[in-house]
Order: sequence, then C-alpha cells, then structure tokens
Amino acid sequence: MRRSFIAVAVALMLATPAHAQQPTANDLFWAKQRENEARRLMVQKKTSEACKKFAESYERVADVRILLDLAACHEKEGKTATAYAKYKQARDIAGQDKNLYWRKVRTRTADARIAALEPKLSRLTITVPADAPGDLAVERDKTAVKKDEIGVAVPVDPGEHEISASASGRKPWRTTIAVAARGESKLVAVPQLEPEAGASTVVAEPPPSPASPATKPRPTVPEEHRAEKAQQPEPTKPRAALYTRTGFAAYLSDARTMGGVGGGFGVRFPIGAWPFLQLDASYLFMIGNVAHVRVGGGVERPGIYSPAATLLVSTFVGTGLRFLTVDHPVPIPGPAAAVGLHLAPLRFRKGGTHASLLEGGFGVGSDFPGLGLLYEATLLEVGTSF
Amino acid sequence: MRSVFFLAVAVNAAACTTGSPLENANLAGLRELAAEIDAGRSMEDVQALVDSHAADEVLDCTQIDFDQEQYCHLSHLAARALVRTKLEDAGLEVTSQAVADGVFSTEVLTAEIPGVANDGRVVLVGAHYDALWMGADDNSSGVAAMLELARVLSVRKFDKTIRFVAFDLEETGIVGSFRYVERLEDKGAIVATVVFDCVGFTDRRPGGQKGLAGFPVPDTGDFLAVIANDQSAQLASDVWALNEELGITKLGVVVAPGTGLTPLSKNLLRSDHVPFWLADIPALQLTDTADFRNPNYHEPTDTIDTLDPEFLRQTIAMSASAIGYWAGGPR
Repeated sequence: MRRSFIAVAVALMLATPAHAQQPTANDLFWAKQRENEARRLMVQKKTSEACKKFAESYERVADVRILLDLAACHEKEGKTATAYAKYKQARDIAGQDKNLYWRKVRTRTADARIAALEPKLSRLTITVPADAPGDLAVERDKTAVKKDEIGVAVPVDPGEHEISASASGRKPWRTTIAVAARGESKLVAVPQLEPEAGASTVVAEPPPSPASPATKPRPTVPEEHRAEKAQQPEPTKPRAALYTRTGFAAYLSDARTMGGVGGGFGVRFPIGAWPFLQLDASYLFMIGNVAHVRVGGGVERPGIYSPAATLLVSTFVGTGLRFLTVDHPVPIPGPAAAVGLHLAPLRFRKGGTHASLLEGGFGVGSDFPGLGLLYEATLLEVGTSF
Repeated sequence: MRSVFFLAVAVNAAACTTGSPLENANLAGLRELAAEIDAGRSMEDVQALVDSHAADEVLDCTQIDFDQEQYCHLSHLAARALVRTKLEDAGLEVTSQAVADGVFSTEVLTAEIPGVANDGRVVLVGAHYDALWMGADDNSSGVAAMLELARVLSVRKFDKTIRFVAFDLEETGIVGSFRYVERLEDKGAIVATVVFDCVGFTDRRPGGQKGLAGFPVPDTGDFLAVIANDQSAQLASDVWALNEELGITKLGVVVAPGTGLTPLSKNLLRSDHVPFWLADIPALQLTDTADFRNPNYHEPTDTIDTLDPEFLRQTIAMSASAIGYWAGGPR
C-alpha cells in the first residue's frame, strides 16, 4: 500500500508541469483520492458529483490530465460552455509541456473537443444602455461580466442564468433568463437603472482643499480601483443623427395614386437609449412630383446591430394620378396622409455613422371617405451623428 | 405630428365640398342630344370603314425602318375618302391639311360647325382613320363616333365652333395629329378636345379587364375610360358630372399629373390626345382601353362582329352631351 502510494506520487510529479509552488506528497495523495472518487462516481453515472471531485483534485494539484478529465466531465454533464472553457485552458497548459509526446497528445485531444463543442455552444449577449452610469457593475450568475464581454455573444451553459446590474445611487436590477442547449443565442438588455429614492445621480465633488480643515476626508479608494475607473470609457450619450435615404413610397386609394421613387434627408433625435423622434423629407417621381414628408417616433436597439421600428405619419404633397369616383367626382386636391409602421431590420451603427438596408413600411390613411394604403421601402439609408 | 395629419384631413374634406360644375348646363337639350345617337347608323359607319380597309391597298412597309411586321397591314387611303364623303353628307365643308413625306405622307381632314357666338373658341372632336388589318375597334369605332356626332350636332346651333378632325397615321407614331397641332394657328382658342380611339369593345366577364399597377381598374371590361391630364381635369369632371346627371354609361376617369408625361402614365400616352397635351391644349382620350381589354387589338381578328353596339352608342351619347355642354348649347 505504501509503495503504491509512493509510485503514484512520483508518477503525478512527473506528469505535472513545473509550477511555482510544487505540490507536497500530501497534496498529491489528497488529489489522487479525489480523482479515484470521481472516476468511481462517473461509473455510477453520478456525473455532477464526479465533476466536483475532479475540480477539487485539480484545485489541489494543477494537473492538466485532470483538467482534461474535468472538461470531459462537464461536457457529459451538459455544461457545454464550462467544458469549452476548460478544454481551452487545458490546451493552453498542455501547449507549454516540455514533454513533446504529452504536449502533442493533450493539445490534440483538447483541440478535437473544442472543435466538436463550438457549434453546440449556447450564447448569451448582455447589452447596457449607451448612457449607463460609469460605475455600472453587471454580473452573470454572481460573476462579474467584464467590460469587453458587454455586447458580445458569450458562451454559456444551457439552463437558467441570473443577470444583475448595480450602480451607485441606482436601484439594483436583476433578471433570469433560460438558455436552451444546442446553439441557442439569447439577448439580455440591461435597462437604464432607476435612481434610488432621495439619491442624486450626479454627485458633484468639491475640489480637494488642504487649506480647509473643515472639509471631510474623502473615503479612500484603492489605487487599482482608481486606475480601473480611469480606464472606463465615458458613457456614450445619445446623439442626433442626420441621414440620407433612397427608396420607394406610394399612397394608393380609389381616388388617387401618389408617390414614386426618390430620396431625401432626415434627422433623428434620440430621447433615451431606445426611443427617438424622426423627421425626414424626400422628393419622389415616376408617378408625379411629390414631396414626401414623414414625422414620427420609434425605438432603436442600442449597439452595432440596431434594428428599429418607427410609427410615422407620412404626407404626400404634390401631383399624382387621380381617379374620379362617386365619392370624389372632381380630382382630389391637397396632400395625402397616412399613418404607418416602418421597420428597419438591417440597421447597423458603428461609431458616429449608421447604415440601413431594405427597410419596409405599411400604413393606412383616408381620402374621407375611402381607405388609402401606404407602401414604403427604403433601399438604403446612411447617416452620421452629431 | 397630429396637427399635420388633421391639416391633411381638413384639406381633403374641403375637396369633397366642391360644387357641381354643371350649373349653367342645358340639361334637357343635352339629354335630347344623347338620345338622338343611333347605334344602327354608327355600326353602319363601322361596317363601311372596315370594308374600306379590307379593300384598300396597304402601306409600303418596305419603306419603314420599323422592325414590326404589323405596319405591312396598315391602310388609310380608302378610309380617308370615306370620312370626307360622310362629313360632306352631314352638310359640313371639309378641308385638309396634307403633308408630303414619302411613305409617311399624311392628310388630316377637318370640318366645322361654326359657333353662333363667333368668338373663335373651338371644341375639337378627333379620331384617327388609319387602321391595321380591318381595324373595327381600332379605330373604325372611333371614326364612326365622330361621324355620328357630326350628323347629330350639325343640325343644331352652339355658341362655340365644333371642329371635327380626322387624323392620319396614328398607328405609325401619332404622326398626323402631331403635324396638325404643330401647324395649328388657334391653339389658344381650343377649349376642349375629345379624341376617340377604340371605343366599341367590351368584355363583361370577370377578369375581362386587365389591370395596371397603380390604377384601381375594375375587373370587368364594361366601362368607358376617360383619360385626362391636369390641364384637362375640369373636362374630366364635367364628363363625370354629366354622366351622373344623365345616367348614360359606366365611366373610369383618370387624371394624369402635370402634362401627363410620367413614367407610370406611359400607357395613357398612346393616342392623338398627346400632341394636344404637349401643346397645353385641354384634351381627353375616350377609349375602351384597347389591348388591356380587347384581345383582337392590332390583329386580323379586329372585326365588326366583336364590337358591342350598345357600348358604342353610350360612348357617343356621353360625348354628344359633353361636347354640346362645352360648346355652349344646344341653342
């Protein structure tokens, strides 16, 4: 018994890459016991318990062999994202192995599993408002979400996830979201946090004045925290956008057909992270000569991919085909107007510019009496913020 | 946003309150005029015109640089002689505007009922007499309409002059009417123009009428299309109001924007009214919509037996009342 323990300990020492702190014989023994328990539990199909034992073993003795077992255990458990991360970690460690044989075998094993898991990964994207407080802290399952993970589809294990956000002077926010297995992607948009009752969202700090002994000493901020704060980007404030668009619009009723193809200019004013107001005017021809003026408001998703939906009042002023009817025995004069919903499913924003392709809209109006239908299609819209 | 919408509503509502354009019309006289139109006489004219085309020599199409075989079946000389005779039979003096141009030589015939007001103002009625094949609908029906109007109107008096104009070579690119308008000395005196082109065919079956994008066209081909531009919108309104008052036929009235020259309205630019539009002379085209309804359009099957005599009568009756109204009569 004692001889076998020593043999195992020696073998483990040989298999483990050099670390700054070498494990003791006690560590090796303890780790091996957890490993054995884990393998027994695996045979008994108690996968989750087995994973815990593998994790305990690896925590005590950082052996890449156990890390690969742990990754495989998580994979079997269905925790694809955790398994994926462990395989990547194992590959990085194995890649530094001085033993060429083990380096090749283990990196190849890890790479194969990483490639197999890639398409199965479920992902979760967390977005925050463009004008979110600078100290906004977002957590996923009680773990801080790094700033470079915001707006990025991060692999997560299938199942329920708790997302929470907090900031000084704001009410904390929390939600849970279920993510299904086999490649599902979900989005969680953290809303603008409401100010806490009685709290001011902007705290003006007086300049330090050593000459004033009455000034209260400010709370000490750790240096690394200050550095982190300094690196945080300034919160992006919503900015008005000037844009140009080209497309088609038509108003059709029993009494007239107005519109055509053409283009024009417009301006969009954000009134929050999502909502905005919009006004644009275009010149249309083909059916007549028409000034097409639209005014309304809508919502646009913050971020690079920024689809939008807008409720617009469209007015057509100018000439078009007119038809005489019992209700309209003389050619109907004046502008045609309709209220419609306009969707921009392919709008993208990068920095201060945006572009949108293939927008569409539909609406209804009236020539009093009679129903008028509005059809709109924007081929391309490009714009810049100011 | 709401105020813009309600402004539009208010403007539109105001449009609906426009009064009747027929306040000074001699409706009893116009109703009599319409009642005098005789379908039998008109169909006899159509038959005579069709026969003349059948017997006529065709255009020397080898001289035409168009890659369309249909022009080898175009005739106009015998029909021209027939129109001249019929107008003279109505007691009108016929003059002609001849333009020599080889195979595209044209001769436009004109005849007038002088207006009693002697103010020089003119109501013009026109139709092209050239035809492909026998051309029963296109355009013997239109010429017959003009001849019937000449017969009925020439025995009455009107304030304004009524001028009948028989155009030539419409089928080769609206040649005769362009030349006529180009040489017209009293453009400003013309208060209304009516051009007949294909006015005798109906198809009352569902689906008998082809549609056109942007036009609310009925499904059945049983209406008379009245084509106007902004310049002639008032004439279109008058026709609509008269028809509502007299209950003559089923109408489809379209007003093209501006001069009518827009890409979507190119199908409204296919007859002798176009030179008038381009010269800012108010003009209407009356039509059964030609190939949007008639499968015999520009085919050898465009024969008299395919026509609807009652529809032709209604068309002429509608036109008689409108022309009489614009001419300030009958007295």
